[in-house]
Amino acid sequence: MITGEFDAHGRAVVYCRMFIPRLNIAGDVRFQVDTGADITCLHLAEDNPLEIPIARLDRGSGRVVNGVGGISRYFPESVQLIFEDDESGYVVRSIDLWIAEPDPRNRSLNSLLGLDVLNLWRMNFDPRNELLQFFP
Amino acid sequence: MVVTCNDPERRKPAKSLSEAEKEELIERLGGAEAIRQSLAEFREVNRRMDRERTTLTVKHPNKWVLMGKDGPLAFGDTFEEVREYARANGLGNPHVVIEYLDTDPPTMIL
Repeated sequence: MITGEFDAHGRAVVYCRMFIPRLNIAGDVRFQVDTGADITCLHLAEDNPLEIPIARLDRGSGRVVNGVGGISRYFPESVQLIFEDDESGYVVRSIDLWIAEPDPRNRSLNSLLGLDVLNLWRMNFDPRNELLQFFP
Repeated sequence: MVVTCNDPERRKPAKSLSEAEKEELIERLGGAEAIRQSLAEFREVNRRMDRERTTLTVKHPNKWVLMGKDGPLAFGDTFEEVREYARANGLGNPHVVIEYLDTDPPTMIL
C-alpha cells in the first residue's frame, strides 16, 4: 500500500522519488492526485531545485496541452517514479512525464499524478478520516 | 484540474519494472534506506511549508520563500534570487522547496 496525505488545502498529494535516465537527474516530487488529468505532469517553478535543464528537454516532441488554467507547452520525458510501498518496499512505474515550460501562469500549479498511473491502482480516498491509500 | 492530451501515442499507461530492474534502479539511486530518508525529509519540508504558508504570506506578501524542514531560510522578490541563494548555500532537492507567497492564489478547479 502506498500512503498519500492531504495538504493544507485539503488536496490529495503523494510523494515519490523521480529519476530521469536521459538526463541522469533524480529528485523527490510531490504530486497532487488528479483523476481529471489524462497524463502525469511536472510544473517546475516550485520544484526547480531539481535543476532540470529546460533547454535539454525534447523540445521537438513538445505538445500544447489544454488545462483549466489555460494552454501550456509540455515536453515529454521518460522517467521512473518510485513510491514507498509498505508491502513490497517500493513500487516503480515507468512513464512519459510531461514537463511544463516554466511560465508565470503555471508557477503556482502543483505537479499532477494523472490517469496514466492512477488507472492502474485502486484508491481509498477518505479525507474525513485523513486516509489516502493506493493499492498497486 | 483537467489536463487533456489528444495524442493517443502520448497517453500511454505506466509500465512496471521487473524485480531485477527495480533493484538495480534503487541501488543506482543510493539504496532503499537513502531513498526513504530523502522522501521523509522532503515530506517534512512540504508539511512545514503547508503549516507556515498563511503566516508567511501575511508577513512577506508576494515574495518567494526558500523553505527548509526547520523553517524559512530566505525570501526574495524573484524566484531566481531565491534559487541563487539556495545554490550558493548548497541547498537543493529534497532539502528545500521554493514557493511564491501569493496573496491572491488561484482557485483550482478539479
